[in-house]
Amino acid sequence: MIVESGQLALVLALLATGYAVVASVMGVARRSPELVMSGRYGFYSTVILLLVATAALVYAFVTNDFSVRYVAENSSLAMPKAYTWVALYAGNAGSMLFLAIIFSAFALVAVGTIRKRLPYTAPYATAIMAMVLLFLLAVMVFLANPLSRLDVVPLDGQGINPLLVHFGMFIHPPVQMTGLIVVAIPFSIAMGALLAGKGGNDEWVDLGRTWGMIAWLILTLGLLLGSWWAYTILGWGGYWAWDPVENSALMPWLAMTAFVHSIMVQKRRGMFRMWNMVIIIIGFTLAQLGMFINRGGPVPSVHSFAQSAMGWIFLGFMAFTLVASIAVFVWKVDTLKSRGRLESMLSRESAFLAQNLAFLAGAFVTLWGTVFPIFSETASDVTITVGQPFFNLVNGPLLLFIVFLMGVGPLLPWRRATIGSLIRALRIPLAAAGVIGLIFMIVGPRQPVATVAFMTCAMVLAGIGQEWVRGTQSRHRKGENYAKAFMMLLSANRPRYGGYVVHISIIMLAAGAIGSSFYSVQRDLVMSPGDTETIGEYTFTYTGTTHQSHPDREEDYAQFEVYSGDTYLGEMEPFRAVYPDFRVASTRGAIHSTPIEDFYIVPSEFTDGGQAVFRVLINPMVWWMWASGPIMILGTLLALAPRREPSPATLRVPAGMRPAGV
Amino acid sequence: MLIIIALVLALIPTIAILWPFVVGVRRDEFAEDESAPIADLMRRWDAAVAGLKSSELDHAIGNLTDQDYRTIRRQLMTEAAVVLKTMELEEAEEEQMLTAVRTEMQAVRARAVGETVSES
Repeated sequence: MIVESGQLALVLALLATGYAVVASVMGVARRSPELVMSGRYGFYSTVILLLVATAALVYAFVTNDFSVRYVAENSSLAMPKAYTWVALYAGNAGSMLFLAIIFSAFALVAVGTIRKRLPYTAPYATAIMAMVLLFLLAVMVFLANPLSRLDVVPLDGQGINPLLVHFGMFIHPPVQMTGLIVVAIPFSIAMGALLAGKGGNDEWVDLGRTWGMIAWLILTLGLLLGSWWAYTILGWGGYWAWDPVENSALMPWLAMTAFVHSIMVQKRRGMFRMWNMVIIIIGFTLAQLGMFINRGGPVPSVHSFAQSAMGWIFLGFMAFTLVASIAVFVWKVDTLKSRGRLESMLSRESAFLAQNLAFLAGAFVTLWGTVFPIFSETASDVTITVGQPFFNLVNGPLLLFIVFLMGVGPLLPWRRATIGSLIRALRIPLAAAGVIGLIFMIVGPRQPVATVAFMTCAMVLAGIGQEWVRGTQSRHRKGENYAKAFMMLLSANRPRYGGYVVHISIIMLAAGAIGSSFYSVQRDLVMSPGDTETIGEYTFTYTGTTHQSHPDREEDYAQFEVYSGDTYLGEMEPFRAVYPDFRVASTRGAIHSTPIEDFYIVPSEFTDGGQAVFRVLINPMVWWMWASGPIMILGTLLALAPRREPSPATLRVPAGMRPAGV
Repeated sequence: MLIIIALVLALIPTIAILWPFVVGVRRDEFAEDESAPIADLMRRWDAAVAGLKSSELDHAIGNLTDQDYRTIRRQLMTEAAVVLKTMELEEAEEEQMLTAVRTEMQAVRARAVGETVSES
């Protein structure tokens, strides 16, 4: 009965969402406040209904109700109850329900804020968000109902994919899915403003920026957690493989990063109005593409989240929203003329434009490499997969150029700069880059590309440091002590200094990626118990293997005694588990991690007699990548912290300061 | 039991959807227009003030030369002053309009009274 209640709640949510679309559009067309409010309240009610549906599914999992198809396919009697949360989104139908409940909750907050500040835009934005939710609900109700019953009830379920049974699954997939679907909110705000004829005076910019940054932060954390999961849990030895599923998450991230920068130009200068609309359309399209590839799209991937033909339905919806968005854009393009103009190529807005182009180029290169197998298969019946060298070769320089602009852009003032002032601002950052280059030339392993990349990172960090020091000194000269001056500097310029904090975290991320890409050491070793090997500073002895049998898996734990020079680092215990029912093996790497480098052991194969094959890696600076996450959150929150400029009513420009004739 | 649950569930969206029609809307959804001149002026004001603060900071830390700073500051001050002036004009126009409405109302009232008198 509880399951049937959940099914009914899904149908009612579908009807309420459909009503929200119609009522919102008709309400604004007829200028009927009752109808608009009714549509909005109908939309709000879906949160409660979806909570009921989710609760019904959780109940089915907890009570092992294998008459529910989704429960039978994604759990078993042996599955620990804690993994009910994971099982909830481990398959297609459940992940749709997860997307729907998360999106409805975020949309509830978004609509609540939009209706107060953008009353004419709000009904259109509500209708667009409701259409996105309507799509998810329609797929669930008509094609992939997570609460549908089986005719024949099995005694036990199939169980969850063993690769998903880990703590990492609790956080990475939900965060990633949330990031992709939340992109729909800034898209709805922008398109809503355009449809309402309110896109031309930057009405939507503040809220668009706020929600763009929220989506960007969640996408970033999703990517970071995915990399961390792959590296520390799955035992891949690396954190990024340019796999289609990874790329599908990276592409919308690149577009949204471009968006959160260029929207600032519109806010400050009234420029890039068309450009921002284009970017948010691209961002939402790529986010949908991400969901399409995740749901068993046609691109081969080593870790598609769920295999099914549902991806094609997502592709259809993506095509519909793309065509509809372009149509609205063309229809309303006349309302999007910029107020300001680019006064100089040496200005912050020019740097933003260049950086935007680089981000979009990166997104399209990634897109091309990701979908190329489809084209090759269509053209020649042979699937040609684009590998890491292509992405590294093309995206590597692009990302380096973006990091370079990240160092130069903030040193350029809005509107215009001169060569002289730019050189003056770049003196210290360039000197810092030079020092790093010199150090690498003298003591470091000579990798020219890596050296240039680290020099660029040093330039960015020195530029940020210079801005902070000079800003603090400037306030200090006005009588504030250094601590207060620094805090006031951050507080008074939150978007700018929040952005700097985020840039620092990006440099940490970049340093980890550069260090581990260029200076990683890897060896595959066949070892017997008692064998000792040395790689770099590390000496390690394989002491033996422990075998454990479980109802669903066989586990082999390898024990190592590890030294760095003469210092005993402790025992490391990587393991490999084999799940006979699933014919799947999973490995867990053992990692000794420090800010300088990671010592990483992962087993490949165990043979009789205790002999085993291990992959041993020394990955420099990876620690910095994981440490960048909290700093990124901190910076984004600082940049998002609200602060309204004093209103003209309280702050008048003195009459003597007014230009003549005004 | 299932029927009762179904009815309770159906009541959730039904009440939500019907609420504005039954209880009524307390304020006009479209009372404030985000494109109203005053809202646009406020945005321009915010942008100008933020620009002034930013250019002042850039000047203080050496990213802007004195000459560029003066030029940019003049542009932004002009923008801020234009916004202020327009706002004052809007206030004045509003006041003028209210006065005109009041005068018209008085005239209507006077005419109505006169007509009533003449009829009696």
